[in-house]
Amino acid sequence: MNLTQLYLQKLFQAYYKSHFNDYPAISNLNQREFAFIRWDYPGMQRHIGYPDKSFLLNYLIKYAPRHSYRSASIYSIPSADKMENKGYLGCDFVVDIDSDHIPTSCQHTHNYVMCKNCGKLLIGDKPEECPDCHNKKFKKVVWICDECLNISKEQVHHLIDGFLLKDFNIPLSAIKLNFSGHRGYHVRIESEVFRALDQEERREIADYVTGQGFSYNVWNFKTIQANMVGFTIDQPGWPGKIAYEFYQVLAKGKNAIQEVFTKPRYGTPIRSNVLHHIIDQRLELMHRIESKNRIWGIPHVGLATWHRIFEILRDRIKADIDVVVSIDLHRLIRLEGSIHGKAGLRVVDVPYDKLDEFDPLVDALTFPQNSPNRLTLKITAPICPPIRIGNKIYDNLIHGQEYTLPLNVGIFLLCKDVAELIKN
Amino acid sequence: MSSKPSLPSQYFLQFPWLNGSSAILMEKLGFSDEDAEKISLVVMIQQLFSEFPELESRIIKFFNYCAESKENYPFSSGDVTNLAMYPVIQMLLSLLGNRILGNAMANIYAKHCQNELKSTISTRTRSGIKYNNIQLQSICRNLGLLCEVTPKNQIDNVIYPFQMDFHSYLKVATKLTGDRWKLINRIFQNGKVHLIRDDVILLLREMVRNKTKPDYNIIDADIKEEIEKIPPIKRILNVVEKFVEENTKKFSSSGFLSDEKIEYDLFPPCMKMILYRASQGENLSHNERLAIAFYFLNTNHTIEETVDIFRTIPDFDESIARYQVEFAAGSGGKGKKYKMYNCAKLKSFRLCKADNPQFGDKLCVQGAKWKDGTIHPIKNPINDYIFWKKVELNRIHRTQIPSNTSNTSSSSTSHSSQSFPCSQTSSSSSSSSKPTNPSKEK
Repeated sequence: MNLTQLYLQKLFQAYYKSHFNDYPAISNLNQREFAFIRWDYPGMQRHIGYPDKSFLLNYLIKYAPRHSYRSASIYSIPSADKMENKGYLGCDFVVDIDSDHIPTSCQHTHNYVMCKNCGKLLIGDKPEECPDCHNKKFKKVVWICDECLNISKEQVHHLIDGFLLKDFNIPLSAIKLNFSGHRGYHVRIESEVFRALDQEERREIADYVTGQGFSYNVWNFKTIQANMVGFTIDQPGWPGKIAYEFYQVLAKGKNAIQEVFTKPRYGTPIRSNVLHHIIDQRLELMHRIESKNRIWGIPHVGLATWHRIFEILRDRIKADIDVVVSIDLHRLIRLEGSIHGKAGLRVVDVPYDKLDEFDPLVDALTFPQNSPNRLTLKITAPICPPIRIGNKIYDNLIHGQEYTLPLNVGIFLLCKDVAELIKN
Repeated sequence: MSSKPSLPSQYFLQFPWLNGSSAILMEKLGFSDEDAEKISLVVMIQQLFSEFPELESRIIKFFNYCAESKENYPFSSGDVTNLAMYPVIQMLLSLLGNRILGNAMANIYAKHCQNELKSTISTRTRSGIKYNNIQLQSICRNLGLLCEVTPKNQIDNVIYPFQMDFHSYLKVATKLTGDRWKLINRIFQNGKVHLIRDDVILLLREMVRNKTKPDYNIIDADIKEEIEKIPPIKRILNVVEKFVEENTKKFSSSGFLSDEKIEYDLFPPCMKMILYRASQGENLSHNERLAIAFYFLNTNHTIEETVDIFRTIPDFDESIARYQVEFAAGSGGKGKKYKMYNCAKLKSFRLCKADNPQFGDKLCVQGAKWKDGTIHPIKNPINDYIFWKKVELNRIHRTQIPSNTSNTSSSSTSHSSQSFPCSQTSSSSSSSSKPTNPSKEK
């Protein structure tokens, strides 16, 4: 452990000590498996079980791990060292929404990698090898900004409002939401019905919320005598959602239509020479959708274009979730109340009705914003992108320079491994 | 769940797989609940054979139907022997451990359920369907499928009388292949899937198929010996073993264990899963049959080898299977040889098993890594998968596989595991696909 890590561990310890009495409850705690990545020990310590919260807290205070996890599943013997001996009892339905999985424009402005051999900097995702020295090891810097945090929040709304409450009829009280401590959110449903679902059943739910497997054949979306037969806005399920979203986009006017169909988040755009036919017929199409007329045919717009239009609309409606997490029956997820070792932010419960006003860079800070403590640190990374902590943006942090910064800002930069501690 | 009071006892005689049927049987035998708990399995079996003299001959006839893959066993309606047969057959299959017979049995009960629920009645006083929607709902409920019945529930000019809870729907629908069973392709709102009567019957059929599959690990070795000594059981087992001997080819996979590791190195997960299901005597969907046939025919297997895959399937009919395989191979019909489905098509059929715990493969999930470091997804189970699997295997087992990777026959022998019964014929063939190198194509 270096000085920075030692100091971060002390800070984490101080946090856990101060929250001994108000640490959040973990449902079925004695049936969960816990796992930790410690500062002083390589690899993950897992297959740990606790009879109650005090044992867990004593561990957290003693080791103040860098990363803390607990199982989404419940077991009769959570501490058994082999999965088959744990006595699987069920698994909460967990949805992971993280801007890591969503292609955001900001990723190319604040994420970068640095070749560990020659130090070459490359913006965006990690390549297979360094273009200069062909080395394959990189240091990756993944940053947080308001855009990525807001996209995650938007996807939570898609999931809960668009699917869980409406289609699945799950009461809001049964949906638990927490900020993941980094760039996303975890949505959990702990009811017996969901716990009993097998992998295939979970996949089917994941497919539903991500719009996978929509069949034009089953839904009779086809051309009949050169006329396109579409959907009606009041149809239940996905056809109605697509019709509604299409209507909404059309209603926003020419610029919005162009923005949506020429700059889709995924896949190829609609060619502008085809799109202008849709823009020309915008009011007519809106009228047909309003009057539940299924004939959507427009001259010069063929079936393949319609399919692409629907795919773009689907990607706007769906909840962009990490499907693998939702179908995995033995997943470890971030422990509620713990500190995320890569950002120094807390994993906090967020009541859904407070989501819009929840600001992770204010509400998930580990220490009070008014803490008088300051950290003096030196920027070690070649680039330190701007970061907003609280209401203040910290930018122009230059490589090699020393800064004395508020405690929460210091923790963030140290956890992100772009700075090292000088003194405290 | 005790469902005994919720359904008339006639239902249990007709559908012995219903929850609570054993309690009805005990009642018919004159056992109290206390007696039923105390009585040993051996005594119970003896009691059943002495109480129902026709039981032995009926069970033999039943196994005859199983052996011949006939699904229309003539169950005697409303007969207590019908009810007594079910647990004895289950127990016998557990003793035999033969998956193909077990699946054939499940298919017979599933088909019977479907036919019975679809059947109509015509008497002087009443005509129409034999089981109305409320009765169907009661059967669903007995099996743990929760649904409501609203006779005039009309959506888009179609009446959907059933509204099934989505979790009940998923429990069964995920076992069915085909786009129309996917939740996204269903009328789904407020947690309910809206269904027509025929859909509910199909779901029940599938539920029964799964529910009636025997538990092969239920009988301890010491009790097994005792049971085998019961004279009627001994006689039945002798007859069944004879059936199996007479149909060696068909039952050759009977020793195949569900946890056995299959080393079909070059078969993609989707094809491994279909072969596995076929080897277990499970019914394959239309798309599964086409996919496996196209795969075999496009990897230089013979028509005979391709037909052999289907021998273990319950409704196997050699002449039909041969005609269809020949058609797919381009030997019949228009003379067009069908290409293998690509991965997108297989995904749309829900046949992609890339991340299946038993058969899944990282290569399918993560794609292939090219020399320039870029990752390219596997888009075709033959052209892409086989080529990149060979590359991967060559990396891992350079010493075991001849270094000349362009000689495709070298790897085709390596994929033909002797442990997989269906492939034994295919393994004799040294032929294999000749995949093109995607990087070269580029």
